[in-house]
Amino acid sequence: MSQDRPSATELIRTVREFLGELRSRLEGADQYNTLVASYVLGIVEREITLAPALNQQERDEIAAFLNASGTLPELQRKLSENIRAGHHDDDWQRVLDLVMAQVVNKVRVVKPESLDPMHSGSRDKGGRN
Amino acid sequence: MADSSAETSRTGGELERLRSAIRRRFGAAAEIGNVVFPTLGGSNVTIVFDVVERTARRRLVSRQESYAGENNPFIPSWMQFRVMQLAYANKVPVPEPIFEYEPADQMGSGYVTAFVEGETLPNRVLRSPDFAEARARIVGQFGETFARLHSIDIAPIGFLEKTPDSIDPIVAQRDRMDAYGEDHPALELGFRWLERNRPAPSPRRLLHGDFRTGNLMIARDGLRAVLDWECCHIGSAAEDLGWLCTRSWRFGLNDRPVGGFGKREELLSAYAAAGGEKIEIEQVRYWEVFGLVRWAVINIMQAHGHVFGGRRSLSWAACGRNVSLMEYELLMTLAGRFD
Repeated sequence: MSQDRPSATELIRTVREFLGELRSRLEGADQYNTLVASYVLGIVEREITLAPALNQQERDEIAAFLNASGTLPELQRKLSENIRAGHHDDDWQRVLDLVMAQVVNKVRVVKPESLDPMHSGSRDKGGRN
Repeated sequence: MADSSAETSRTGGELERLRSAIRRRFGAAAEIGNVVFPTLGGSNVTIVFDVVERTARRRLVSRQESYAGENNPFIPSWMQFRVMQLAYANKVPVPEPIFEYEPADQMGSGYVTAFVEGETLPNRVLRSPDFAEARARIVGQFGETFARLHSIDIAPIGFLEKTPDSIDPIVAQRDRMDAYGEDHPALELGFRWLERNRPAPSPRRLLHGDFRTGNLMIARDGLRAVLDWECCHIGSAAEDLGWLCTRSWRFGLNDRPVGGFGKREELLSAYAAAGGEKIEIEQVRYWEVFGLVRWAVINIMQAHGHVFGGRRSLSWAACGRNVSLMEYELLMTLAGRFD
């Protein structure tokens, strides 16, 4: 489907900037909720930009680790079950690194400034941070 | 915090019922005044008010349970009230429990306690000059408070032994998470680590279960009262100390693990000096890992609106996404990169 400009991310950014201006004219719970709303829109904006490439990469990494195939949700399910059953106890460092990479991706979308300096360099794929 | 106009229509009937409930206990001449409905805060309906009898005036707090579905992690009001009475009798700093609601009050499940003056907001208590004196002594007060709490004979509150968190706190969190059918490999790693590193059994104590910066009423001279007794259970003393030291409530002061106020060593010394059992730092660290897992699970629940009854809310939506931040802290802790 082709769409006209502004793009989805541009639309979200416009709403987010509006909320940023609105906030200074509000008080109390309304002001706080406007802040949370901006925070949530920032997440959506980053997710639209970053998710497609990150999802693909994650799927490939988990598939390689498990030597299995499937969609990303299916692979996440299998990985979770395996960890709980103790199948990766002897491979602890590798599974920790694998899951850490996934969580770093999640944090890149949710709140990139929370990342420790060891993780906060931007990746080649997925656009701006 | 003032009552917003949107609340007034809802609260008209409620104030009438509150007045009746007060008169039932304080006499027909009792009046209520200075009513405030705090807009920040947790899962209950809270009303702060004065009760006035002739010339005597006292400020009280009413708490009513709001709707919560299955998988409710909180203990019922009557259990909270009993535990608070026991704690109060044993000189643990807790708001004085005054009375419980009965069916005739038509206020649902809940109770009324004394109002304690002070501040709970983490940013204020951790950073404002007003609380510098409090900060200098509060870790010591935490140690004493825990020692007193954990020394209470649990025989009168045997009902608490049957809650999921008393039976096995790790299984309790995992069961709560499983109810939502989501996949969280990071939390699976946390649970696996907790299972494989279970500490040796230790004496069973009364635990507060949610003793953290944000639930503590603090004044210039230090700790005045511990609030929010909804998560009490029986278990290892170190679990309570570990929860206070969990990274999630250091509020950026990560080199002060004890709620953003100070060092683990100071807490353990004060605990021991006040008669608490010997606890090693590694035990506290174990329960900090547990704390990160448990806090992540609570946020998963909040995102589903489950604890608070199915209403949409921006804050709870954000909670769901914030789970990733807790997972990050958990994995960095397991990897030995965060202390």
